Amino acid sequence: MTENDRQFDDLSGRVPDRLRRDLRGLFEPPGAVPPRVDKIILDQARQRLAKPRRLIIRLRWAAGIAAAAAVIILGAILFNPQSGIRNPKSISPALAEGRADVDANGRVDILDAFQLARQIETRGPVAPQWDLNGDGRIDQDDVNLVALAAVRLDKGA
Amino acid sequence: MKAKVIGLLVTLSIVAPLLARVPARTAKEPAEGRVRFAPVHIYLDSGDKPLAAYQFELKARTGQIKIVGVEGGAHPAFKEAPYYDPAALLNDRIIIAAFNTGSDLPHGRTRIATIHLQILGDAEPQYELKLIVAADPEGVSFPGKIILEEGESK
Repeated sequence: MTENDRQFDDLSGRVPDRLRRDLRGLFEPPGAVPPRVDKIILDQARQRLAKPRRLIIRLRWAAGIAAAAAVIILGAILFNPQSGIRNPKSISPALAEGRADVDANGRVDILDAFQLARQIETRGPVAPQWDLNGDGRIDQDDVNLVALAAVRLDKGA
Repeated sequence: MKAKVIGLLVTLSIVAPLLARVPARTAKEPAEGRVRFAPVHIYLDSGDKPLAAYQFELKARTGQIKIVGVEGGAHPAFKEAPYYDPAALLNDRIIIAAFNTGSDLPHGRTRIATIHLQILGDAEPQYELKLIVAADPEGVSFPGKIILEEGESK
């Protein structure tokens, strides 16, 4: 009970009933919010607050999955022995097929590059398989490829 | 909490393989010691035959070396840097080769290449030098004599 109520109660004997009712109507606190309205407001508030949180959780999961996938892909590229990224000087298919063995003696050495260079210089016959870089021409670039195949440290490994 | 666990797992997944790839210090590798640089000069004696092409392999049998550079030879025919695998740099083994299709070619003993080395530790390295092939202008191989001479270290 508030101070005002007590004051009006104290006046109950002296104040006319009608004035008392009017005063109560003016100063009485408004009626309580109905439970149904209260529930609707609460539900709406929950919905509105829940949306960003769900989004954040989804984003975190997506980021985690994306990061894990990136790690797996990176690992597969880096640790795959067939990968050309880890070993950019990995043997080209042409060299792997033995096309650098120009003199066909069963091994690739500088004499293969030397023979190819002489064939090019003297405009002698050249075999199409000596186009090691596959650019449609047999030239100094192919000679260099044969020479580099000859000095590779891991050849025959 | 879940995000922290995911973050931790992702970090471990990235860091662990990287750490695994860092080579551990081997027992052979000195923790401390003298480091010096020295060239080794490679000579080839072709006798009376003109030298048109050569290929040889050099590696350290004992001691610790790292190949840091390769130079061509003394004769104009082999002045340019020879062919070698770039992977040999900072390694202790290298295969070197060169050829020249011209007519001005060296005879007899000639310096065909100089290899610059970083020598780790106090032990004097012992080298293994093998001539793979030497050939005349017709591409016919002959048994040349290959010689290594150590230069002055710095």
